[in-house]
Amino acid sequence: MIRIDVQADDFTVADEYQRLQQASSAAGAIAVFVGLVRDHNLGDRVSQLHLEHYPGMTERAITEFAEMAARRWPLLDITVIHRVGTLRVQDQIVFVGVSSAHRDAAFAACDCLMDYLKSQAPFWKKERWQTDEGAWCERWIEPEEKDRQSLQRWNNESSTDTL
Amino acid sequence: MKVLLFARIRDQIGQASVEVTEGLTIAELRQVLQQQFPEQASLFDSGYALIAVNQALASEETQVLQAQDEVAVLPPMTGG
Repeated sequence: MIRIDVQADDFTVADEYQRLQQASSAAGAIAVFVGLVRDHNLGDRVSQLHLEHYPGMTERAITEFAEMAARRWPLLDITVIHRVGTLRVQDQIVFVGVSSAHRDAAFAACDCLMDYLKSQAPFWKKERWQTDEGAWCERWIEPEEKDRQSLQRWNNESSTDTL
Repeated sequence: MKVLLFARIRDQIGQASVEVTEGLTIAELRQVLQQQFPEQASLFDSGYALIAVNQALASEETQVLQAQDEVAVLPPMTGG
């Protein structure tokens, strides 16, 4: 089963893990990734992150990608939770959890889904920080080449689906 | 017809949507937006902005926009 949630609310990793654990008795492996807001970027002390999405398109695009992952690897259940709105340092941003009979597929699909979320899912991040003088600054984050390449590497391996 | 703008593009243009005539291809839509906002023309370059039609990414030449389409201009994505 694929579950995709884009929400302002926080999530509890233990609850999400437990849902995946109890969803299928065929699961022999669950890979979980959690992304957090860190306190620095490009040499500046970041104190807030604002995440925007395109309601409707974002959920649909992630669902389609997760369905592709489920065709590529023998997966049992997929959970993707991505937060939007204003987040602070150390807040959780994203949860990806994947269950499978064996660990290889769970690790690979979790990694691939994160690569997708970083560079292809309709989300945009704006960071805000305070200068030493106390003035608030903000900037939209530009995509990084390494994130695009990270997703691209899944195309280099044998697959009928193109990312 | 209305074209939605997102994130950096909306902020720099200062509007959440713009009006254009229907019947444009995606490539023509980019040109029209660049003419409307010459100072910010690079925001609509094919190497920067993505265009979504009815919430799916659109290819440059094939699609002709109709009044009932939901069209959006999206900056490069930065999630995760």
